[in-house]
Amino acid sequence: MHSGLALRCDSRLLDRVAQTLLWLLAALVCGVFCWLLFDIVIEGGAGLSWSFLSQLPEDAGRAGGIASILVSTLAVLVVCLSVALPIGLGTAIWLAEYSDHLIVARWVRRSLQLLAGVPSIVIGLFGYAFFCRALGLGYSLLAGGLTLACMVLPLLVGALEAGLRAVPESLRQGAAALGLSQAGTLLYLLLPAAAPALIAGLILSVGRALAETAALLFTSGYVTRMPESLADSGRVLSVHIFDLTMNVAGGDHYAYTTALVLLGLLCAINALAKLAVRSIFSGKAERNEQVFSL
Amino acid sequence: MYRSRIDRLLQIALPLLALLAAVIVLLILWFLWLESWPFIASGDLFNSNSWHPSESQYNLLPMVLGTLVTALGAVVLAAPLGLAAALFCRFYAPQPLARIYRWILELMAGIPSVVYGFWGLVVLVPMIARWQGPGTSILAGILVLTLMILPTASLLAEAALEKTPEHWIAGAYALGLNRWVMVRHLAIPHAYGGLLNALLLQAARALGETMAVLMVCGNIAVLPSSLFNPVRTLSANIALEMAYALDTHRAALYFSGLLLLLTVLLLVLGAGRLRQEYKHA
Amino acid sequence: MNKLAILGYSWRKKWPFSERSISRLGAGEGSSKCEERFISSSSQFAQIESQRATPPSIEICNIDINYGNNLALQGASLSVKAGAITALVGPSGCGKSSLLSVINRLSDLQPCRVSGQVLINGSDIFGASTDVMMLRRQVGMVFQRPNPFPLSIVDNLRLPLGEHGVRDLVEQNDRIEKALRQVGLWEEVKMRLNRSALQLSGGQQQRLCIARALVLEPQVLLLDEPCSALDPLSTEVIEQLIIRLRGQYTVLMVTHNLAQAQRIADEVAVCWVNDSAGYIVETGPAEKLFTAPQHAITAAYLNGHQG
Repeated sequence: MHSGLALRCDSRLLDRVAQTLLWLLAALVCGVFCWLLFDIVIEGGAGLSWSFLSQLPEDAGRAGGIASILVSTLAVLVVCLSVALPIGLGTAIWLAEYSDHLIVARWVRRSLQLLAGVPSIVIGLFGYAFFCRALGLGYSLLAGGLTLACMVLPLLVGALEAGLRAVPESLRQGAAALGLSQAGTLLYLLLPAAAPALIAGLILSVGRALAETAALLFTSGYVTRMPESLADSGRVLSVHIFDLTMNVAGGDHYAYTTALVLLGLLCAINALAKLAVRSIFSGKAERNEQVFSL
Repeated sequence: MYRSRIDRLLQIALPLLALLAAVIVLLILWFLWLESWPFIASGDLFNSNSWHPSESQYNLLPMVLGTLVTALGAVVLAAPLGLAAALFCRFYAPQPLARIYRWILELMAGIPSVVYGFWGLVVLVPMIARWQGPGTSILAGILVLTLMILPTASLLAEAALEKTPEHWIAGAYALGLNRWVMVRHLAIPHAYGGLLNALLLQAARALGETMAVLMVCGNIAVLPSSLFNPVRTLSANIALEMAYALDTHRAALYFSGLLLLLTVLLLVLGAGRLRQEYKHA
Repeated sequence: MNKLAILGYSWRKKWPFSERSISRLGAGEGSSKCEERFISSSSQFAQIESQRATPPSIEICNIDINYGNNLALQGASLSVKAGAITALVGPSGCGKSSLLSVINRLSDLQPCRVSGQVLINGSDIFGASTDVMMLRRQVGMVFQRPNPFPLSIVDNLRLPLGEHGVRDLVEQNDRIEKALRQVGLWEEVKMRLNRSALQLSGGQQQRLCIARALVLEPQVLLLDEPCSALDPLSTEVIEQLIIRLRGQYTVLMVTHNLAQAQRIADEVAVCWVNDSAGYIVETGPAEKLFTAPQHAITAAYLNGHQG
């Protein structure tokens, strides 16, 4: 058909248009993000100094530093992980190794899936009602850490279970043939083999926990002084950024710097994770595989 | 098999831990219900015309609308942009560039929402204010939410597109079909389930977002009449007033939290059902 | 032109090709009715012999293919006779499939470097003025594993036609029917054209893929071990089909099956591996190569002593 040639150009034209459009849109997305990053780095970098990191906040945060905030953040993270890790590990091991034939496992997984979707403000509400009021912990780092543990649990279980499932069956068969107990198999073979996934999951959880704000607003408190125990209330980095922006006139410059510190921490943790995974993965896991493979 | 004492301990302890993990979501629902009961029982929800807790007026409609409009706007913006970024990464960019682009997206996905809200307030809101109105507005909320959900949506979409079977792509090229034809007729329909799943999950996230919208939306609890009006979302409402709310007021806030939770849970369940339906062999 | 076909055409213009949208279309009318109208609309199927030019000859001159630092194929030179069926035989890893992918420039999509020349009727396929899309229309390819698209049977054939400019529905239907008749699928599928192509058996799927290549009316056909994933019965059907193509197309076929090469090929090229790089040992008419090979390797391979 003679119209064929004109219509061929139509198809080609569409392809060209699609290509141009996609490149433009992708550049737009990338551009906005780079704008955001540069803005924070440049504005925040101006206020960054060792004294900023080591001094206590003064004048409602307009001056001084974020030392107490860093300590509170660390404390909340430690509480969160020390609670989430055992529960998460236990759940993941149970899901991956013990419960394939049980219907209950499906409900556990579904429940965790739902938990992953719960908005952080709702978890904050729950944390306030349950940890602060019902359990009597009040505004405290402990309550904040426990609330964060609820947020972080689905992520942890997901990563850990995937890691355990990725360990080849030959390892388990080799252990069974040797008459190893389940505890021994877990401790000496499976967990080390799944170590990279474990580390990755842990890091992911830390990243998520660091970024959390709404869940901590009414659980760990607002106070800027240096906490003296886990029962004290304290302010975390993300809440500090919020407060400086919304409630403190002229707090913007230190909000930028705090944001830079937070982003820097997140970057560092991600980089650490990649490094840890690479080093562990190339070493131990493969050695174990060689020794126990059939 | 030889069972040591530790094995027996594990057999008891592990299911208990799993049970504990599974029970949390139920606990959340239970406590929210408990705390919001006084409000539901009082019937104030339907008797109020506006949101004025000091005068016992507890109409949630302005906030519900605020939540819906900002989340919907963000999804409408993020869907095409996210798809474009994913297509770019997967099919159109040369490999080294695609790797860098994916790394940037992963970085962005990790940025806390409070940082997006902060930047929105400090940079975007003044820009909008120069155009019209107070600046803190629905538009600002939509833009910031879009920024927030875009990276994860793109990464999920790209993962779905990556599953396009190689032999279809080879077959299409061998027939002299161009890249856009292959993408449009083969890759996107095949990834349809994954794309929808990504959209639903990010919609759920946009609905539940607190900090970013709290910082840029202006937080006036009235029904908005234009995109440039300030608005308050359900989540922002809770965050703002929880500190000093008492009795019925507090119960009302818990009730709005319950509403939010149920909506988001529905979306998550829907996404899970979709994943089942579209499981490709 | 029947209304249903127009409706179908405009429907398809709006939505992406998908099995769901097409089956919805068919379900609305009742599938069998739909097919009836399709058959009657594709006018009198006349045995109009297309005024196509005679199939071309291919000159492959000194092709080297490098994947990174690995030389996969070295110095391959071959004259593919016009209208004949040429078989490329040899053990795995001697670059036969890679050579095939050079001829329709599918190698452009892979991370490899190609040097040398391929002339189809004298024109260099790597020349600056070559339109790759047109090249791939003239040079059809069928892969080892059948790879029909996840569309209906008829849409598998409509999609390439539409994209290459054949938009007139009557002509599309004509060419689709002709291609399906050529591969012997027409009688088997004419009542279920709107069903998914993935529901066909392996042999039927491969014939559909051959039909898909033929529907664009190419002049050269590249077949990469087209029967290796099929059962013997389907293999026989496809071998008969390839034999029927002799004279109308220039066929270059890669095969592992020496008996197959002996059965259907006019010319044979034997490949071998030396130091992990493939090369062409000997070429010539099939009869001559199988009865009186000149090279020792050829003799050993064709008589089944090695490989």
